[in-house]
Amino acid sequence: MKVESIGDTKQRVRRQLASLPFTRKLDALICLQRTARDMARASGRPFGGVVWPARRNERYGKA
Amino acid sequence: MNSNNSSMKTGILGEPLRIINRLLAEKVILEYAIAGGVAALYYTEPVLTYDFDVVCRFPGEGPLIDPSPIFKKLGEWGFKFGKEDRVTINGVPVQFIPASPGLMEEALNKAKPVSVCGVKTRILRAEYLAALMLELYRPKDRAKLDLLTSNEGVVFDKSLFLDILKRYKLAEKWKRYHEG
Repeated sequence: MKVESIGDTKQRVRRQLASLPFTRKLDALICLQRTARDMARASGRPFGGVVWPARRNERYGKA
Repeated sequence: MNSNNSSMKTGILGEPLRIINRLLAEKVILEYAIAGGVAALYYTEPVLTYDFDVVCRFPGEGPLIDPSPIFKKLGEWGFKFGKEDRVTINGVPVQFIPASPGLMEEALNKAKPVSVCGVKTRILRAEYLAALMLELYRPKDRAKLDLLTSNEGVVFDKSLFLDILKRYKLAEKWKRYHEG
C-alpha cells in the first residue's frame, strides 16, 4: 500500500483548493472573514475588517 | 445603485465590477485591473482579505495623480466613502489604487482579460502580482507571495517572474526571501 506523505497530502489539497471555481473561493473567503470576526469577538479584541454579504444558497455556514 | 438581486445571480463582485466598468465607460478611469488579495484568491487557495483592490490609470499626464474625479462621480451615484478612501459597493469595500510608474504600471499594462462573477474585467497576472507582493513586502504580502509561488496548482510562468525581478532589481530580495 502506498502511503502519501504529509507534505504530499498538503500539496494535493492546496492544488485542489486553487482549482476551485472562483465563486466558491469567494464563499470560502466570506467564511474566513466571519471566522476572523467571531474569533475577535470571542477574545474581546476589536474587529477592524468587514464581512462581505453572502450569496443566497451559499455552501459554507449560515448567512 | 443597490442591486442585491443581481449580486445573487452573479456573485458578490458582480455589482462592484459593473460600477467600475461604468467609470471606465465614462472615462473617469482609463484602465483598471483587479489586484491585491482578491487577485491572489483568483489564482490560489482561499486567503483572508477584506478589501477589493483595483489598480487604475487616470486621465492626464505628469507625476501628479488626481483620483478625485472617481470620488466625485461615485458620490454623484450615491456611494459613500469610508476610511482610507474606500467606497463600499454592494457591501464590499473597494479601494482604487493609482498605478505608480514602474512595476505597477507594467503590471496593469500586461493584465489579462477575464470574466469574474459574470462581468468582463481584467486581472493582474500571477507573476506580476507576486513581484508586487515581493516589492511591498509587508507580512500579509509575504503570506500571499508564498501562496502564489509554492502552490503547484497555480499556473505560474517562472521565467517571466524571474525576468520581472531582474528588470526591477528584485532578484536579490527574492533570493533572500527564498532562502529565508
